[in-house]
Amino acid sequence: MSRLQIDSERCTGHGRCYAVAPDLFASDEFGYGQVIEHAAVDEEEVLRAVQNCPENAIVWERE
Amino acid sequence: MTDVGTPAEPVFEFNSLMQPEFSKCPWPYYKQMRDTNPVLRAGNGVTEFVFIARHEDIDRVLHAPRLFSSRPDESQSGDPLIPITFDPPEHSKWRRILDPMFSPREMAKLEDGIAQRANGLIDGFVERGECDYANEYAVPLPCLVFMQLMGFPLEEFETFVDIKERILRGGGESFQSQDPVQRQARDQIDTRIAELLDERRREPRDDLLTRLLNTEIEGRPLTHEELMGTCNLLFIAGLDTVTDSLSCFYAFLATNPVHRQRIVEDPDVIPKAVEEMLRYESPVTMVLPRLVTEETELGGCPVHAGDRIVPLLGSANNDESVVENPHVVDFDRPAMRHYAFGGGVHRCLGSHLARLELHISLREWHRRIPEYHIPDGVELKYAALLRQVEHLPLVFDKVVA
Repeated sequence: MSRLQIDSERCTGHGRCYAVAPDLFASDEFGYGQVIEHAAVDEEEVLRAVQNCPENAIVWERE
Repeated sequence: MTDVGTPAEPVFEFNSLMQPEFSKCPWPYYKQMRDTNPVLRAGNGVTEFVFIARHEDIDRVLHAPRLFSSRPDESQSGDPLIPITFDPPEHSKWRRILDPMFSPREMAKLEDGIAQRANGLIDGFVERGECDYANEYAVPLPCLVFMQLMGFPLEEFETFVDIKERILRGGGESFQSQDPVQRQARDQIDTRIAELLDERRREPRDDLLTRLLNTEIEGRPLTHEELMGTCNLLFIAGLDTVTDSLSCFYAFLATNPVHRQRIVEDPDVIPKAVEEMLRYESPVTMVLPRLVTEETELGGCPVHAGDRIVPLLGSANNDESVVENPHVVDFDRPAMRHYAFGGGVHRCLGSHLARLELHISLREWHRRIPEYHIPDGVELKYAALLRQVEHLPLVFDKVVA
């Protein structure tokens, strides 16, 4: 199991996460990223989002 | 035989900011700065800034708004540009009402209109086999889209662009907000915006002017001054930067046929191509200077309360400590945290609109005009600070009916 989150204190709405990993993230009404609920996440896709977030706001904890 | 020597390495100094050589080819200046002078205190006798070039330092400044404030100092004019001259927590209240107006969902509604407008402009010159790219495409496309969104009358397009030019580029090298050319242009747009707001009060329409009139902040409508500060910012921000980006991109693509060919053959690469060209070109050279609020250090150099810090975004985006081979434009770069839209709480409000316009523009143009070049002998001139190619003639080598 792993836990994927967006740190809302850090996110400023660049929208890169839902552009590069649309299966994992979506935009809220303000354009800020939201995690779509998942049973399992694709590791490569998570990494792509993490590496493209200008605010380092994506938190991924592998358990 | 006289040894003429090798050309001197470009050295960044205060005056570089306004020099066309810097704007045309800023990368060697950025590299020289990062290597030898990443925190540079420099002035012109009238004003002084601390320029910063390393990604690490720029990252810190953008993310510490309490220490590096966006509020104007005494040398700047008293008119606030909302929300860019505010700090949190005040700033956050404004973004909560403005962000939804520019969210990806709202912007997606404009897609068909943008594509139609792009095609309409292309119709105007495609059969001629050439165009004046700036005047016939890069200026009208984003400006007309934005004016319609705002509710600015489209028939006043040329007047609005002219006022914006005088505000952004009329002050020349003074960097003083009391410049008479700029002051007069500001008064002119203030008067027109106030008239348009009055018209919308009497007769609401489906546009942002009307939406701003109906918006509440902390349970009350916006005051006249707040409406003016917000509309002024949107006017300035909405009528220039996409033009800058388009002209930088097309100058690049016209001279790099391999990259252009990739876009023609694989339009799905366009979103990645846009991010990579934004990173490399960084059309917006700097963000608004940040005012230091208390003694601290930056990259090992002391900075003092009252100093004004200028983060050079293009240098952060081309810093080899965070980008591998930054001088290579690679549409397939897997990981990229660029600051072409700034970063931190002031991240460009219009970035979702800008991206949409750039995507659609590249898609529609290359579908119809897949091959083009800049005629021989044309020297491109890039405007300062906001890197717009002022005159970009393009000759079409292949068009699709």
